[in-house]
Amino acid sequence: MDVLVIEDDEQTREFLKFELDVAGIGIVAVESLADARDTLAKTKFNVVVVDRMLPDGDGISFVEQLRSEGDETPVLVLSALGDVHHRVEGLRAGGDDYLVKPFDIVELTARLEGLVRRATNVPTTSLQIGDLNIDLLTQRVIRADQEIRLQPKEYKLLEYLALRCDQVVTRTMLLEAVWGISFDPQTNVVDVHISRLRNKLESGFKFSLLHTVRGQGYRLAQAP
Amino acid sequence: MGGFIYWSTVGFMDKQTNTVIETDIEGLADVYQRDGLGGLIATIESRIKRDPSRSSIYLVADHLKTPVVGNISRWPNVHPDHAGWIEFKLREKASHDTTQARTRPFLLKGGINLLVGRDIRTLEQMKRLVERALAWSMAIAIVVGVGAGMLFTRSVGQRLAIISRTSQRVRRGDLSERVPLCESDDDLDELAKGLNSMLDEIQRLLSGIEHVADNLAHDLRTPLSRLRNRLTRLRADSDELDFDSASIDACLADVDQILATFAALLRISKLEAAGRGKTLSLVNLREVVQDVVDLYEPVASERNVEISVTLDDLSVLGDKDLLLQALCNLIDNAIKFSPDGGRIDIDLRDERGQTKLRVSDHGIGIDVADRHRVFDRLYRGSAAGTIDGLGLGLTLVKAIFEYHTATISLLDNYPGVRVLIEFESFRDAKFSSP
Repeated sequence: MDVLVIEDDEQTREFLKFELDVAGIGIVAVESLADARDTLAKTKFNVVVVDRMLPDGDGISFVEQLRSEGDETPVLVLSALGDVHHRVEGLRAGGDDYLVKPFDIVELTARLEGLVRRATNVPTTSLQIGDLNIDLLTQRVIRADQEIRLQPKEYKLLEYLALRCDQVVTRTMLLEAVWGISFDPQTNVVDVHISRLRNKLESGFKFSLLHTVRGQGYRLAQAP
Repeated sequence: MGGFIYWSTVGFMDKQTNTVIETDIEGLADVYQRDGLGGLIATIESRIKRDPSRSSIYLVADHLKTPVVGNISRWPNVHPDHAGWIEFKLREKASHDTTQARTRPFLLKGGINLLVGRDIRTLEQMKRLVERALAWSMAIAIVVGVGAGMLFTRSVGQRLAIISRTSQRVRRGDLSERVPLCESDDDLDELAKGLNSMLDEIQRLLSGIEHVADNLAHDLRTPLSRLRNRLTRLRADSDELDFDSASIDACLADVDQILATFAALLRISKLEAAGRGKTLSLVNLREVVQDVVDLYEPVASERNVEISVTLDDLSVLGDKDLLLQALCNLIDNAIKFSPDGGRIDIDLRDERGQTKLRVSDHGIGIDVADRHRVFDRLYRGSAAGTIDGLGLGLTLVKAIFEYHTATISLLDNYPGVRVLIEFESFRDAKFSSP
């Protein structure tokens, strides 16, 4: 994966360069929109991370311009402006995800991976993870020929994890996608829902599929 | 005014008549003294001849009041009034016309009775005329006065109503509203202009606050972001550098809490300063409550706390995300403060046009003394003790509901706490169209 980061704060830039590198993600970091346009003219990227408040403009207008030129590269907007209407603004302009500063690096990498995966995903009607089968059309879940009955939200939770199988999914991502909540409830609600789902998916079965990644989030995968 | 007119016209005429009669009597008394009864009779006869319409009344009579000479047939059978005047009705023999006479008796030397007067029919007619004219003019004056008063009141009333309506809309958060001017440059217009310039100033200050809040967000979050990054890096290095990462985890937790507090404070400030109109949409409250209940249900069941809901299908105009947050806060609290195995009740209904939401628990409750202060920033009640919480939750909840023009109050649930939220009824809420 190759990421273009447009961030004017030097320390943040250096931090991202270091961390993404450690995570095995290729990164090019620039300071301004002008530099970004130059770079994009020469190289293709899998995903772009852009800060809203830049010296030569608003990241949002950059995204709008990108989209008007027909560039569909996934964009993650980074900003200190965290209100929901800022977020909606960012997504409406053509951004694919929105993260508020300061952010957890794990959160950022998880979302970047999610964005890249979504862009390359082949449309499919069913998913198979180990002996777990999920029919995306009928929403039936079967594990080793046994049907597992899930409540609507539980299914939504499973589907989100399954579409990103093998990738880390953070609690924030789940809160946003499954419950439409963009604030931190300050309680371990997500953990409790995951426990329930895990119970339903795994009790009586040999292998666990829903893994907790300490300090990061969850991952649905065959191997932990 | 009417009295003055009456007095100055009719009154004057009355006095004139009296004076004329009295002067006449004096003159005739002089003639009697100079020329005796013969002279008097001759004078009166000539006067009567000269006055066929009998505008003046003369009668000379003896001591028995038997007429000697005059233009009336006999002495009037009317006693003089307290001022000595005799008024009586006089009838014209030929036409049977009746007229009014005002006369004064005078006793001459030798027992001769003299009666001199005037036909005051004209005067009386004049009186009636003036009286009627006065009555009419008074009536007209009253009608015009009242009418003008009403018109004046209505016009003032109308303009005050306009001002009141504008201020109502402003109160609901539409800060772009201004009082329309009447272009009449009067006091009311001055008032309107004053109000409008106040609103201009308020709008300017509030947009200033938003700017400050946004810049504050950027300025404070950047160094906090760096701090967090450094700690994360340090933690990653801790394995290599062989030191305990637990203290770094604690630092990270603290930084996160600072950030959460800061974020909530910012949000509260912006809500308190913000006017409505931004990102408002029709939000189905029943769905919002149900979503939050679904989210917290497993958390509640972990401690065997039952959530009982009675929800009517009601909507409000507002911000879905904010309402979700407020409800998460309230329901989270209710569960937290419930004893194990307890129950929380959530009730959403319409009471006489007003949407009311109640979230009740049967837990430890809040001291009456604390109830007012719980909405203060960073306040935590004496009973909170070991229960986690930032103390900002209720402040933010209050700000959110006030943003939705709803009131929030804490009541005793005997035992426990009942949170009551009352939304403004749609009937009363007249929002200016976007």
